[in-house]
Formats: sequence, structure tokens, C-alpha cells
Amino acid sequence: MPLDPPPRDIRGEVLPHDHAGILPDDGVIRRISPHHLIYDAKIQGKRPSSMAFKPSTGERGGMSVDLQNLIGEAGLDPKTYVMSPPWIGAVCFTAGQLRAEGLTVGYDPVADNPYHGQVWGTFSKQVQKRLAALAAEFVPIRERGEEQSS
Amino acid sequence: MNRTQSINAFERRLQVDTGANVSSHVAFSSRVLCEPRHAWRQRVIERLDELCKLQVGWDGYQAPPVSFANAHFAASMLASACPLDAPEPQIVPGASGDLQIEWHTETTDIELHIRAPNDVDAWRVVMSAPEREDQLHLTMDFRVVADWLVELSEASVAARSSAA
Repeated sequence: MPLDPPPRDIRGEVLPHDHAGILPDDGVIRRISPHHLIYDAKIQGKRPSSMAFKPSTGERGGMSVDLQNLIGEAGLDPKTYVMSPPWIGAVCFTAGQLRAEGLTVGYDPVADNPYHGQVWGTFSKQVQKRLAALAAEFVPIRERGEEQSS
Repeated sequence: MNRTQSINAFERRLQVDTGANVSSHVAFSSRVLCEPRHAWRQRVIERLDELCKLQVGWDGYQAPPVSFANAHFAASMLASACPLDAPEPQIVPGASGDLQIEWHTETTDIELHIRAPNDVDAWRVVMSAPEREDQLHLTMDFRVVADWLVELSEASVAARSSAA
């Protein structure tokens, strides 16, 4: 079912909100760039940096996401859709998991991504660490130069 | 004390106090003060250069490249705050032209989020006391980062010694 339009200010910019049409079990996808990967000696391997789970700076800055249900309802394969640009991987949450962390999940369609959403709230270090732990692999994250399988 | 002895003493003192290397250039009958450099300096500069050249949307959304001002500040901060034997930092771009400098060893995590020049969120957790996290907002004085890195290096050496 299409989502109701998000609230906007007089300039047309989407206001932070928690969209009632995004249900607790709905998938919320976060793309992860190879540039987000760091080596951690504790796990003897690479993992996404906390920067992968931070909002953009600014008064209304949120963390960009893709709303899985909208992509599927448009007849597109979400895994293929979020693999842009090349080498991008992705992790997935449910909206309920994000809300349980005190965050809000909104709808923020943009010109080149009508399925774009944002997650707003306080992204403390503790929240970032819990998000990293909650994040389920959606598209394997590979380093540049590695072949990406669909 | 003759002139040569005096210069040598000055060099030794300078090296002790600042870590600076003083090279004698016999061919030019002069002495040149060289800024001490971290072994990883060139790789860090290349990484910062790479992050400043990212395409808009590198993160799959609308993120711009790291701003030159932030990259320049990061390079200066690392040069001045890191002890010469500090391990190589990892550098991660942010969604708004910002960046984060990180160290993750067996014993310690350190993250310095450069939101803008002189606007840095510093965070550290030591595995021996994970419930205690250090979190500071730094603007001009980064001596605490140097202290953290000295402790990180010492803890790494201790961990390797006890493992051996």
C-alpha cells in the first residue's frame, strides 16, 4: 500500500517524523559502502565503522535508508535495487527494532530514489553499537575489486 | 664546550624535547631542522586525498565527498597529536563531508569524529573496563588524544607480552 505523503515545511523539505504507514515488521535497509569498512583486531577482520550508523549532520539530519516494502510493491527486487553504486552492500533492520532504540522511521522520497526514508533521533555511541549488532546482512559487503554477486 | 659540542647538545635536547630530527648537510655547510614524520603519514595523506575525491552519492544515497577543510584539519591534527610511534589510523568518510579517524586494537577502541575543523567528538573504550567510556568534545587542545594513543600503544605491548 502506498504511504501517505510525509510532512513538509514551507520550503518543501521533509520534517522529521515517525510514519504511521511504516509498520513494525517492515524492512528498513541501510546501504553500506566499502569506505565504511574498518579492520578491528578484536575480530581479526573487517566490520562496518560506527560511521555507517550515523545520521548526516545538520538540524534535521537523519540516517538515509531504503524502505523495503515500497521497493517490493513497485515490482523491483530490493537486493538488486540497493546495490547501487557498484560495490555497495547493505544491512537490514525492522522498523520496530529502530523504534525500540528511541528512533523514528520516516518516508522521504527523493528525485532519484522514491523509496528513500530517513531514521531520526539521537544516535549515541551506545545506539550506534546496538544498531551494528542488530544489523542483519542483506547484501554482502565486499571490498572494491571483489566481484559482486547478486 | 666548543661549538660542535654545543650544537650536538642542542640537537640531542631538541630530539628529547620534541622528537625532531636534525640533519647535518655537510655539502651546504648548514643544518636543517626536519619535521618528524609518522611512518604512515603518506598513506594517510593518500587516503584523505581519495576521500576528498569521492563522487557525490558514494554511500548509495546523497553523501558528498569529504570536505578539503576537514581533510586538512585531520592531517594537521594527526601530525600534531599522534606520538611518533602511534599506530596507523583508519579513516572513514561521513554522510556530510565529515570524517572519522579510528583505531581498533585488541585492547582499545578510539574514534575521533571530525564534524568540522576544531569540532571533534572523541570517544574511547578500553576492553579491560568496557562499562567506562570516555567521551569528549574537543576543539583546540588534542593532548588527550596523544595520551589515549600512548596508553593504547602500552596496552598493546603488554597484551602481546602476556600472549607470548
